[in-house]
Amino acid sequence: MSTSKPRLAFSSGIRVAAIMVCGISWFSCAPIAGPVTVEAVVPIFGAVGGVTLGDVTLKTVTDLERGEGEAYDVRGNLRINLSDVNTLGNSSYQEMLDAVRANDGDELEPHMAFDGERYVADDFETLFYFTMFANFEAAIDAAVAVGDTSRASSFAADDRAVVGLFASLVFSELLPLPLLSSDNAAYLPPLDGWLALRSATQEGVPFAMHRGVAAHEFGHRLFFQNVFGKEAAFEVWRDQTFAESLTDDELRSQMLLKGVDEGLADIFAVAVMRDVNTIPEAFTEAGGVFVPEADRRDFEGAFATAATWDNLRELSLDTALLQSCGLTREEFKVSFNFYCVGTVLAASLWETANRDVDVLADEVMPAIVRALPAVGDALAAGTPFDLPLLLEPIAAELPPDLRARACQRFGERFESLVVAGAVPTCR
Amino acid sequence: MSLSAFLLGAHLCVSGVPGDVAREAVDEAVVAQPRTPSDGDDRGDTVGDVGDRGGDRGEGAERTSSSSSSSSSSSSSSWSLSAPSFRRADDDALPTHDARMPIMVDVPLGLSAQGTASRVETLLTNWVGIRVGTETPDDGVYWGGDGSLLLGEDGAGTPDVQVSRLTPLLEARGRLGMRTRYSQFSVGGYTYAGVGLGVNFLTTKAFEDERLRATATTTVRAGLGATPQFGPVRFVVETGAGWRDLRFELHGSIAGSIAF
Repeated sequence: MSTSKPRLAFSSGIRVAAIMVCGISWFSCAPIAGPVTVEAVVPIFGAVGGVTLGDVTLKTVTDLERGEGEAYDVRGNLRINLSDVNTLGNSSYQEMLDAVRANDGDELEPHMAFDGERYVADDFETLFYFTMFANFEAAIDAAVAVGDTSRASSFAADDRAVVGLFASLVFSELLPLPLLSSDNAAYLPPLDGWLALRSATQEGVPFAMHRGVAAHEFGHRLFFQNVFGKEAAFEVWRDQTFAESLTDDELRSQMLLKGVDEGLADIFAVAVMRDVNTIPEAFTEAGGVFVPEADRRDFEGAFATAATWDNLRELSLDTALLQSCGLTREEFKVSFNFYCVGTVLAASLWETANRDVDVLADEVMPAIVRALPAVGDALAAGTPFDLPLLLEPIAAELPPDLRARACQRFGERFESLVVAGAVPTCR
Repeated sequence: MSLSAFLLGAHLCVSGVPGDVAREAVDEAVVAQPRTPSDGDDRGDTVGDVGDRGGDRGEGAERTSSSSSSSSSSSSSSWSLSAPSFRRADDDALPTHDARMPIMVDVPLGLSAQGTASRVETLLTNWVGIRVGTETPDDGVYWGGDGSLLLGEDGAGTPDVQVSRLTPLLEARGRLGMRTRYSQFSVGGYTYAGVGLGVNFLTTKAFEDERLRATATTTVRAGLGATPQFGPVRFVVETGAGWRDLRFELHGSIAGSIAF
């Protein structure tokens, strides 16, 4: 907490009096701004569940009691209506944001107390909020560290993102059927923000509260803002996203784009956490229906070890491993589990880093961030997305020693593409 | 018959409700006690006192006094109409159970709902406890008060990461209501308001790391209740709203109860 600002130091009993005093002379109470220490759920390597309770210093919070920060605001009661989002076909990026954020929820009402050293959550949602805020700060720090200069890591007022605490994605305002409301977290480009969903059936650390998952979701913003940050690229994304219908080739491009987006988000999560098991462990701890996802997202698991772009395309991968990918020869072009393609890409990059989290974080991830704008430029030039559009700039941006290893791995994981010369750097 | 005697007598007769009338009669009897015929010379002054206290009734009493001065037999006759009434009420009222304030022991089961940080979810707190109170035995309007020792429990999160709260709470309340009685059965409705003071025992858990801390908690609650009662057994339903730790909440409860 800043020493230059009045500090609300109170135990819970005194808090009541302090709030009353603030109520009487509201303007005398300055916001609780960072750096401020809170108790949150923090990752700890080797601990049961991978987390413990610990002190975290929130650096970018500008008003802890209202959920406001320099880089993002946390909002309550945020509900995204899918029918509204689907009417944005002709809008500019800013018009899209303005429309979707027109009803961006309410100020938070955290329940907390100051124990003399830190703010401590009095209920679960406030613990959720503290933890989530800290997790996104860690993700921003990591993004800056890997050289990101896009809106994703910006602290400019116009670039602030939104986090919906226990938000929902619903069908429409009139018919608020929840389409996505629990046991998940999501980045939503039209909002340029995240939906932190409540936990319902899962165990373990709620996904939106998990630092690795938060980093994964931040990775989506990193991808979106670097690939589609320029106006021409944004228009390509907008036209495909809000189109009433797409050709099979367009659908295939879209699915592949989602796949690499997911794979790179997992890679970014590993780089932030410096732990290759962060995403699989989140799913394993969640238990139940989430366990198979852990197997599919484990860079060193059976699926990632065996899967290649070609054996997925040809459906020649072991049937048990292929089953979860939803691939069929007839439907492959338009409908499949794009996470499977993402894992193939992520595994190749993990191998490029020689299975070393530090190499991944310090050398591979910066190369990825440098490569992403080239993908957007190619899309803006009218080139439909295909994997070489990403593999080539990544290979080109890597340091020479890693580039050689990347080409070797790409040659194994994407053999047909490399052999055909679709990745010129690896010829 | 004097006007005052008529009014008092009429009240006694028409009302016909032992508890109510008996208590009022006892009150009046205390005031009018000196007016017994045996008081002799003091009678007029005493009646005058009654007149000072009682408006029309007092004036009537004064007129009675005037008439008594003209005819002692008439006076005697007049008092013989009213005084026995007081004695009867006095005698009848004290032994009946309605004349005293009963002690009620409730076991309430409650639920309170408070908004949370997200303004989406609602934190539901389960309450159980014991409540001891008393109230005036009157039919019609009555009032009372009670004190409770409640235990609240709530929590949210996953089995592995969660915040749970256990809250012992002492609450004192006042009640004002109306009751109708049909022999052994009565039904009443009331409003209540009260304040509470307690301790939140908060447990924050992240897998094997559990931390317990205690914070003070305060409540201010008001609401409506209904109590059907058969003999000594009551059923209580309440609903209301208020503030817990300066945050709005809704609450409701049901309770089984025995009145002694």
